[in-house]
Amino acid sequence: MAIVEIQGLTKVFNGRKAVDDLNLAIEKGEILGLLGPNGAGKTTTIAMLSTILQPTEGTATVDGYDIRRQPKEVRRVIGVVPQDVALYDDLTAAENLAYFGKLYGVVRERSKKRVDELLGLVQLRDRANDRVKNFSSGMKDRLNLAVGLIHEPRLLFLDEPTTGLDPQARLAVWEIIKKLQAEGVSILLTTHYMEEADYLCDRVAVMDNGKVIALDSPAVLKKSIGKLEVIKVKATGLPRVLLAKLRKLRGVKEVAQTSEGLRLLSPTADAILGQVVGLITSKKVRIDSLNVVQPTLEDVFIKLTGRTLRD
Amino acid sequence: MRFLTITAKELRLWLRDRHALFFTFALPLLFITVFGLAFSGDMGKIDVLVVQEDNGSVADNYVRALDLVFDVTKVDSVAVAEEDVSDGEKVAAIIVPEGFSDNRANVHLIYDETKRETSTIVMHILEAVTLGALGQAPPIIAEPVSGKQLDPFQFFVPGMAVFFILMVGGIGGAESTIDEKDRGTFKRNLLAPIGRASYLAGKLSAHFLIGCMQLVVFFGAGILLFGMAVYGSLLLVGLVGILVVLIGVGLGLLISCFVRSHDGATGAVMALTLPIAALGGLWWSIEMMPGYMQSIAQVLPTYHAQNALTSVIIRGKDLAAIAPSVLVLAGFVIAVLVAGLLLFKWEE
Repeated sequence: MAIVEIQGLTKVFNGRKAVDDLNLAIEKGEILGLLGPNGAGKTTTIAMLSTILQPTEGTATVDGYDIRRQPKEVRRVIGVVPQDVALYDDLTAAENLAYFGKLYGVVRERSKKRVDELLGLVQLRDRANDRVKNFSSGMKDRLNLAVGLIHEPRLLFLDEPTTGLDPQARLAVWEIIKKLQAEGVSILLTTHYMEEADYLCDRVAVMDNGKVIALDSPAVLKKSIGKLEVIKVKATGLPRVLLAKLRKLRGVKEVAQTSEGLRLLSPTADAILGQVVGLITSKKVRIDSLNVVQPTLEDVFIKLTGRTLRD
Repeated sequence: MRFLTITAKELRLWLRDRHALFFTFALPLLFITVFGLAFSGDMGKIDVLVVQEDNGSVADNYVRALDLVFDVTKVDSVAVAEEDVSDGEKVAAIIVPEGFSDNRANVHLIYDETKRETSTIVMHILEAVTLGALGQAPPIIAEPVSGKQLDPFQFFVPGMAVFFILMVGGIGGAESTIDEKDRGTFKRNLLAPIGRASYLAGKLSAHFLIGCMQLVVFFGAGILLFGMAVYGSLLLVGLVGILVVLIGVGLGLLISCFVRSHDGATGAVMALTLPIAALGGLWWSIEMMPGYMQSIAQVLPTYHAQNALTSVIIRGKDLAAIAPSVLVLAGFVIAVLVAGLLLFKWEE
């Protein structure tokens, strides 16, 4: 059974289709990842499903409620965790939770228990009565997540839940998300991070230009790369002409620039290593490191679009 | 009644903001105290110089008469007197020339034109004294119009109250919306299953309540602390006060539609409230201004607020007497609130 069914959902901003005839279902209990670069339409999709943005065309149902005709019912079912922390700095952790609980109509006795439960879940019980302005950014992020859960939503929208977190804080958030799934919450999350989608998601929908261009489990998606291997080059100051030249090299399937350097997809990585190094050094670029690695979801995206997610 | 949740949250945040509390209550009370006390008590006699060059009995009597109405310092030479006035030590010098007693010479006045108000007063008094002393006209009789002692608090309590209610309502209301948008809590509130109307109702009621608290504190302090008398109905004072609070709340809403930062909000509200406070006669009576400025003043809500409040407090007027001003204020309430609601930006 699907908790979300999206049919032909479209949003046009100034003549540009931010979301283009999207069809997608989220199964009960699954974590579905939306993967794609900025501007792919992930956030717009979530805004429409959250009923704060009117679709231009198409619609979706959430737990059976239509997002256009029954926005209030939809809002009760969903919890939304915004990408940027959205809390009252001058209220305490417990007050923030209780306030949003009241807005959602959580009754007093239930609210008290729930606040305590959630503070436990995000490990802030000992800071319950401290004002949020004194919290570290990791603590704020955890509380931000907890606020989205105050009314016990059956479906949770997480917009880049770990962007900007250090590895330790990221792990803590991942653990919480896994726990929520175990409690039966269905989750739709957007992310830039491959490892995140890889680790958390049952299925990943790869989005580009408002459309889903691939949809499957992370393992199957990675297999779709076939026999391609990845040459990962760490180097700075790579000229554009170099990319074009590398692309023309026999045996190179796709090349994309990353924040660290380059990723080359090739069926015969070992055989062309020498040529790659030669071309790069001929442009007077110093190579910091070079490895042949296993493909990740990033490479799936590169293969599909010729670009990286950070483009 | 879910908007009350929002109201309660707004008030709680406001109570935790010490700067806001200072501007809402402490600063206006300080202004009321300083201005009220500064203008209290009898005005002292004005210091003038007198040079008596005629020693006849008429001149003696005349100088004695001057001594009754001015604080007179005698000097011997016109040159010294002139120097003192031009140095700003005294506002005017009166010279009684040789031949004054046998009517061959007129009194001569040297005054400091940079102190216009005081000089004008000296001139008028001098005219009266001269006419009286020379027996050409009856001495002037002056009496206050209501027979009551002038109490500056009756002017400054309403004046400062109107000014600070508009300012705090404008800045506080605009900033709280700007803050919510900055923090992202604006969107988060709208994600909850409450209507947009509840959201705005919650915020506006909070700032309405803050304005009402200001009214109670300012007029309460005026009456209880400074013994300000209110000759008319306190209910009428409250009615006019509430209209002013609503204009302040509407101003905050309206400013938040155009401005995106704290500094912007403070600047915009100051740019609006300071001129209309000065022109509308919240700090001094508008009769001091030239006629065309007085006409401008009459289209301002501050003028009508101050006019209605002082009419009730000082002259004990009833609703019928202040109805025109009340209607103008009500018009402003509707205008700012409707404009604010129509222009409010729900999406970034």
